[in-house]
Amino acid sequence: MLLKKVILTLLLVLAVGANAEARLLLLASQDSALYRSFQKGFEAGLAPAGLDQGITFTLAADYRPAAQPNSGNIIIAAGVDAAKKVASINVGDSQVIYTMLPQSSYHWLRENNILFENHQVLFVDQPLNRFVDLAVIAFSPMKTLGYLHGEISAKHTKNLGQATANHEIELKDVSLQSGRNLAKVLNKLMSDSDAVLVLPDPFLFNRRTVQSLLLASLRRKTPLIAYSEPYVKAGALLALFSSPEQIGRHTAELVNCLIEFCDAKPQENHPKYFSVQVNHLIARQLGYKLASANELKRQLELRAGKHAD
Amino acid sequence: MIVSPPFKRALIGFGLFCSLTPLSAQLMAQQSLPLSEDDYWDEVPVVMSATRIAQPVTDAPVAVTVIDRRMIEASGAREIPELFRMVPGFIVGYHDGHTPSVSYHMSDGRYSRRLQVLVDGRSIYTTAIGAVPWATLFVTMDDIERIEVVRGPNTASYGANSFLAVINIITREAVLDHGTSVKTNLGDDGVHELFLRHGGGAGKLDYRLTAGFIGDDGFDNRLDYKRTQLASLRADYQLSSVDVITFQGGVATGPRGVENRIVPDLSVDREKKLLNHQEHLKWQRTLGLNESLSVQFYHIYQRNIERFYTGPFPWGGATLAPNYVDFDRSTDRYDLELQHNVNLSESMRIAWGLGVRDDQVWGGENLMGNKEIHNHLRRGFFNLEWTPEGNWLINAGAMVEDYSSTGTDISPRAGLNYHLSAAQSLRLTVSKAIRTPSMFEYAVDYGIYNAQLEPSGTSNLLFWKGAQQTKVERVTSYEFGYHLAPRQGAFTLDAKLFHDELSDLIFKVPTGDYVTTHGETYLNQYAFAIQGAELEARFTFVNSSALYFGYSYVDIQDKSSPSFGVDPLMAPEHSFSLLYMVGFNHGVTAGVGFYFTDWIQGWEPEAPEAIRAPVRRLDLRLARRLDLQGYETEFALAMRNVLGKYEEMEVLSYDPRFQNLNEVDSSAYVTARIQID
Repeated sequence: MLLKKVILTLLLVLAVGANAEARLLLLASQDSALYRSFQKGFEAGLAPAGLDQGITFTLAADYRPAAQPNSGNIIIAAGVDAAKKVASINVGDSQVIYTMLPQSSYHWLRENNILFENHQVLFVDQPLNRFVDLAVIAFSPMKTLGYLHGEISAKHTKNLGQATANHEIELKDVSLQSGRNLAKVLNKLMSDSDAVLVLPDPFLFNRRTVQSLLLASLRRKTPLIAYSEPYVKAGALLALFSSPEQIGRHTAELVNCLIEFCDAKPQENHPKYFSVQVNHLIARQLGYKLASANELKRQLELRAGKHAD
Repeated sequence: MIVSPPFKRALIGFGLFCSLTPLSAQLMAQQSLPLSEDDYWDEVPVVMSATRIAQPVTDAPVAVTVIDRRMIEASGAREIPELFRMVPGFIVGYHDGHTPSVSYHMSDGRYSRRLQVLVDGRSIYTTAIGAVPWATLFVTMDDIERIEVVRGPNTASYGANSFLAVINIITREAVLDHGTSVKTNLGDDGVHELFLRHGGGAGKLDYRLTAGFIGDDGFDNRLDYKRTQLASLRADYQLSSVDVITFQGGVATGPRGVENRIVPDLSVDREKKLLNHQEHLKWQRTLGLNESLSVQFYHIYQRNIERFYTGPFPWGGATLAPNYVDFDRSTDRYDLELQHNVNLSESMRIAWGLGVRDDQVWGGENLMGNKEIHNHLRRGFFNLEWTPEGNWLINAGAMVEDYSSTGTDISPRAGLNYHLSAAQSLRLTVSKAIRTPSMFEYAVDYGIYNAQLEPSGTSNLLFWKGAQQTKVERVTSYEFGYHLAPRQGAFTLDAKLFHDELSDLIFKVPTGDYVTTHGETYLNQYAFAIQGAELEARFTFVNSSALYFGYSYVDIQDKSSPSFGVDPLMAPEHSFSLLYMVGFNHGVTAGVGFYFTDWIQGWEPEAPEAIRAPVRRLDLRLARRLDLQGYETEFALAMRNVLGKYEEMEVLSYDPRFQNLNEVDSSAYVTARIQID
């Protein structure tokens, strides 16, 4: 193991010496506030050793790969477009970190052989057990968790079922398909559940469905747990999410680990840093007295620590 | 562009070629990708931001009854006013088949002037006569999502005329009613109704169209039929992720039978026509997690066409010749309001706003001498909710209104809620409210000048008038309440004790001989004290059946000087309601409603003899929903007042001419509904 690290270090030193280009290439899918926030978190999280290597930030669409392979470098592909761009680069023996990727898109890209084989990935998705932990902390004692899904988010049902089973919670999963009576389906789900979880899905994420979902939640007094801050702004009770800055920071730590040869990290990673958002006015409307968002987050971190132990 | 066949073939060929290239594969790949990272941070279209949400009942400063869809359906009610029989302290009656009236705590005549009624935030209280035009609302029972009834004065929130209580009818969002449905009601008393509804969406727009026909023959042996045609549109347009524009508009029109009764031979049997149309535009913007802004404008037009010739009425030793009477009237209301809701801190939120209104009333020759009068209003309001440390919650608010007719008034309210636990609260609230005189109370000139007599001569017939100096009515209200609402419990309870001091009440007072001066004049001459207790409870049972119970005890005392002179039974001492809702297998549901109202003073004429005996009313409804070859259908039977006849609020039995004329008989109607898509 030690010998491998030494050889890798030598190779990297040689590569840096032979090539004045920066060692860290960060390809961003967009030039937007989202990615500027990601970059901010990334720079803040990068260890001095990483900074010393030099960083090139570039928009994936603008990147013109060199004819020679980017040997020995670390390529960070942030977002879906950047991941696709990497497929057109001769990466040589570079290390690739895919980040800011939805889990479902990652699997789709991998199944379509668009991803570089030797890589790590950091999803934007929260681990499912974190959602379940949040539900348990906020709404204990909890017996039934509703899960409204479309075609894409249906893929989480099995894992979610395992996560809820660990807490002896029954998962009521309902598939929302076009043509079904939306109001009826939602009202039944809300009536049968102590809380309802929604995860990203293009079929669910349209104005009509979201509107009906939020209205049903309020009328049936069943809280919604959502995956994004804007959902809370719109009327969901709770959201669990990672900001682009938090994902940037975690991405930087994966890079640090590559540079400093820390213990091997798993190939697939969920965000380590996260936030909880609570809409306290909705809480009052639904008759819940919840702890503050920070307190809920602290309890989640405690649980995560216990899981890790 | 005209595409020639060879070129068309070339295009198809090129398309097929493209479909086989890697470029095409890449495009397809892009289209098939499940999600983008943007999906995790995109704005969610705001539909129910926190600031648009009413307080939970445990935090409200006054008692609130919510009538939800299940209660509406289970009650078997065919018309909106009937629903209020279940609300503690409410009195519902019919002057005739097309003039329902709803009041709270006191028998208030057929016009029920002391109640505010809002439909999605617009006040439908009629300026002219100060009543609510229930029979020409174009809101159908199926359009209603829920009704919130604020049981107590609430001018601080909703302005003048929120005097005894406030009814807020909230219609369903258009997005909830996609599809096409047809519904019909057929039954006794000539009930024949048909409703067509269609809802859909296109892009950012959701809409619902309702058209219908309502008809019945009113009471037995009376000329009080009604025929109403109605159409309405609700459209919700999501302008952006934070902006929503809602338009609501509709029209209702139709004839009504009006009979020769109260003054026989003076006002002959006839027909009047009503027209009511309203347009309401509202823009709402969500400025942040706890901040929103809305601007709304609405216009309400109401017209009553009623002209006839008098009959051979004896007058001063002679007989009235056929004189042409013009009772036409029309009102326009234009209202513009801005409202800003914002959280000043974690523990304090405020809603404030400004508004202007112009009420225009025109009355025909025999109502207002063909004159039009305006009443301009400028108003400002705020309501603040403060949750200091501990279990206290403070509600404070005030409405400042400046009317061109009655001047400036401030209506404040202060409430203190104490949370015994998350599920229990006590409240103590003091508020002041006002009612502005209706335009008729202010300026009516009801009569016939220089009426032709037979065989010759003329005489005035001057019935009543507004003195143009009537002031606002005032009430100071004290409420102490307890609310219990376990979060997931099967039982909620609200109890309140109240004491209301009403003063400057406007009634007609004898002032003349009907010939040289008007027989009666509207004056601020009376004062009442109303006190009592109310209880409301809801039970949800294991089998998902539910029971609603309401009880009211009211003690009303005449504080007028000189005395009002009418029996204190202007309020029923005891009244209660029970509504049981149950569902069975195979889509069968049933509702049982029982309503009791104690002895009560009837409506006009306000005579000591016109006391109504206690009324017990039982309504039953049985319904079944079926899926008939893919079509969702419902069939229902509503049996009303199955316990037998009782006399309506306009008590006439003491007058031998009108025996059994105003009795409510048992009746039934069936409903069939089909959802086409």
